[in-house]
Amino acid sequence: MFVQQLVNGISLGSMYALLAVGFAIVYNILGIVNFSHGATIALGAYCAYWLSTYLRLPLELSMVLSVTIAGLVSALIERITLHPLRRKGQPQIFFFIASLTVFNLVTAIIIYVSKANITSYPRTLIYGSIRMANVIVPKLDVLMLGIAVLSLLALSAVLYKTKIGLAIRCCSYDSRAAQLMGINPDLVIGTTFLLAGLLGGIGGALLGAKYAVYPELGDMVYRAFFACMVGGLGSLTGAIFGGLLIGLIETISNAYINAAISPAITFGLLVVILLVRPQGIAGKLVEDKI
Amino acid sequence: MKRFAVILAILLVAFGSIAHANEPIVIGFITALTGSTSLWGTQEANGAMLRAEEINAAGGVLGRPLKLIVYDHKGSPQEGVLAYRRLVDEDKAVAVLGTHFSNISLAIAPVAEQKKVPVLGQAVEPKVTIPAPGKLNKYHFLAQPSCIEQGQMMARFAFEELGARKAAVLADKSNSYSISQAEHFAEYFKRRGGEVTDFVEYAAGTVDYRAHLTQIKAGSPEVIFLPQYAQPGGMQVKQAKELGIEATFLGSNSLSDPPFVAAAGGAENVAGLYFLFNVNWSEPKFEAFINNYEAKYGEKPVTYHSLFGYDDVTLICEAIKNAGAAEPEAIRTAIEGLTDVPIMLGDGKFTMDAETHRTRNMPSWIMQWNEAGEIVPVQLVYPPAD
Repeated sequence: MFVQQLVNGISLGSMYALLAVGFAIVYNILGIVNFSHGATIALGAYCAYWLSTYLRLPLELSMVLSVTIAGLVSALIERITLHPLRRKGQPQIFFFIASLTVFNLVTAIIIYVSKANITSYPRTLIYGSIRMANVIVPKLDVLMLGIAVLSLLALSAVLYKTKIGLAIRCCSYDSRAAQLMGINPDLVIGTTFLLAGLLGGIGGALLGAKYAVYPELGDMVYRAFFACMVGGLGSLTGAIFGGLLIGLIETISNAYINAAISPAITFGLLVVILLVRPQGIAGKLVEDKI
Repeated sequence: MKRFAVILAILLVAFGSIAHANEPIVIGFITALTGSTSLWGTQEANGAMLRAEEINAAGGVLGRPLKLIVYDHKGSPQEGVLAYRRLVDEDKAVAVLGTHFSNISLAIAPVAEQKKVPVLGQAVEPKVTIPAPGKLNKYHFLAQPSCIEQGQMMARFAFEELGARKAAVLADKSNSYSISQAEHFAEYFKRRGGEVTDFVEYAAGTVDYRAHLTQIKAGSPEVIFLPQYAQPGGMQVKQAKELGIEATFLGSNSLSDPPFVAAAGGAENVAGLYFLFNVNWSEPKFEAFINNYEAKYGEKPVTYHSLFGYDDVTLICEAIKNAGAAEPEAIRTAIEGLTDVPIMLGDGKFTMDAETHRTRNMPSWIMQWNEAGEIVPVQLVYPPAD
């Protein structure tokens, strides 16, 4: 049973990790805590649901399209909120507030449109499970882990193998120096939000398949935020590590301590970790950034 | 002069009583007309207004017409209390109907004790009428089986009809609807000689139940009781199926909502699940109600809450008739004595228990979801007497 709980924990943690990385890259480049990430998570699930249900598109195609929409919406959010604030030289706290407002606005619109109902995709993404001795791993979990790993590999390919990736990394070290070298900050920031939105969209579309589609799905962004804090805000590897850790802590405390106070245990442990290591577990990695 | 005064007085009294005879009896109704549960509330209000219209067409109560005033509690206890005060202080209601929300009824109950205008509602939380052992709220009454009875009825069905001896329970610690049913299910099941392999509580807002379900699975129960709302219930069933759990699922009346099936991942996942339900729509006695409802509102009743409203008005009119006067105190006493009143829900008869201010021996239906995503009636069950 312990092995099964471990599998459960990794399956949950890998979802948190995927969401946390999208959250971490924006922080990495801009030093901004971006809660509008929650809006892209919710949109990732709802667009896949709307496209597959009302336009009757195949589910896989709907999910791909919804990820694209989430990415574009994320870039749009940057354009209409962060961009003007940045041009006016406003402190970043304003963007923090704006991002939280956008998140709540999108959630409110989704509640209105969906009449607050819980629903699900017209069909299951993938049926069946893999059985090894007493341990059962749903095929969906394996697929999701695969997609999560592929997405993260693709992200690092973009960051390390492309010109824009190089520009993003330059900005994350020193945006002023990067600007002096002729790097266009608007393009870099827009691309970063697009990437974050794509990751949020992938996370949302998969969460919709794994659990269900409901308006508060975007609240997962708070788990992503905690995962980043534990792992070391801004560190991509730390975010993955933090996501897995929170997933495991939640699962183990649910299973072996008491599920009703599991959130208290999880957050209590987070406080302890932050007291002992305020820079996060992967604190060293923060220094080298990406 | 003296004689003139006497005649004037007689005339005034006579005129007064004529005016009184035509004056409508004001009944308040508090329900959710906006917010996420407005569908239930609108259905409830529609049912109540339909019944009031029928009663007025048949001559009203005590020769006076009935005037139903409906206020919105918006899902909030504060708004519920405000609505009750307004009905009593401004509208001079002699009785108030609603709500079916335990937390709102809990907030109204102490105010009703002060204002002394009786409330008849549908909440399932027994604390609404009995706030502490040995203490009874004199002015509050409930017309739906309590969550104690609902948990016990399901436990008895599992033990006697399904022959289950090992059961597990998964309940939301922060929701009295969920945890109360769970506790009384487990308590009754054990009392009959069954074993509760796991009693797992979770915190509200949980999305991933694999840890809880893996623990439950290890105890290999024959039945798993899920007293939940549609959203968590659906997610739990879906994840349980993914983990290969083959036990029979038992649920509460909220698992009748269609969104439950969607959240559970489709009809094939919920097929075979039993749940407790207040009404069996396929009974012929509902035909007239459904037709009249459709004639008035242009659509068929969507949820059983329409019958809550309909029955509430029937019960309060019966109480006023028995009281012989449209006075709050007399109505309160009459509600306590309601016996075998013909209603729509349960087995069609309603008796108030004067000691608990809840229904006495009101049955519920056990229903089952089938592979086609339809609800099939299984049997009518009564609360256990033991």
